[in-house]
Amino acid sequence: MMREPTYFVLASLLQGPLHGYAIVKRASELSGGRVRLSAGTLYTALDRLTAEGYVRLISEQVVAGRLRRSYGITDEGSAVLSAQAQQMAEAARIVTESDLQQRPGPLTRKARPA
Amino acid sequence: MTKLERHCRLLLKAYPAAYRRERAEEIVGLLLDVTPEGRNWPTGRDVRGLLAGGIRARAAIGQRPFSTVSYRTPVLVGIATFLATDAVADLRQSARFDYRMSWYWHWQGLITAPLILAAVVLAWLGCKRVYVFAAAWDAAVSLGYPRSWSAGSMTSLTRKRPLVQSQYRPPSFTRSAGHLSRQRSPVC
Repeated sequence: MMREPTYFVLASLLQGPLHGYAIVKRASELSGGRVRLSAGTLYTALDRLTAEGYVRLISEQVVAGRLRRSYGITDEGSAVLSAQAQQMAEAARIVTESDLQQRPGPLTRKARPA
Repeated sequence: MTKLERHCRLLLKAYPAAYRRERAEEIVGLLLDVTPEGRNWPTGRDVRGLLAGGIRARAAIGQRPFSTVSYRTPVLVGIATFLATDAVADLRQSARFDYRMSWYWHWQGLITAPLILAAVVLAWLGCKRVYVFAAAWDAAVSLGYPRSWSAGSMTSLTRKRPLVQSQYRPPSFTRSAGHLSRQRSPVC
């Protein structure tokens, strides 16, 4: 099971290689502002993903005196990501596709006798 | 270099030096992009993230397959934890000043405990010589006082306090409050 920040880091790279700041912005966009990656979290995740071979360094350039490295997702990474997405979709289906009509009503407290 | 950048580099010291050589420029660049205009420090989230990331990176140093696991990190962490808990126990005992306690215990705890805590933090940041120094200090302080021989420094919380009144000398800040120190202690 992949942790949420890791999932969104991988998902943000699906459209093409990005550098650190772009990953943070994209992950936030994709999750509707819910996932806000801090620098520490992002690079811990990138280190691990690189070590596992799911992400690789694409390019290195200096922009306005700052070092920017771009990372891209590997084939292995996309495979793991879609497996994870599949698993989550199946788990979600249990709830979203259950027959709402047949479900018993929400649990309510029994009325106390007066 | 702006103040913000200097502070970012200071926070990056949480990471091991080898990691910093590899990643520091990149992380500082990201922090400068992410931090809102006009701030001198990164946001609280980023500070916490960096400290946590640093600890993780340090814990991951020299990670190898299980058969060749290095005992260096666990041993160092163990020593650090022992010294830190011992220092905190000392500090708690000393801060709760009690008339039955001799002046020695009072000052020994108040002075050495913060020193040991500082040493542990320094050691964590990579200053290896300090470990030896801190351990020697702790041992010297505990052994140097004959009464603690039976207890040792490991049992600071249960240390027997001297009860002899002739040994009692209040610390200077209580002596200056004349009306307080003239009061008879309810215990002795």
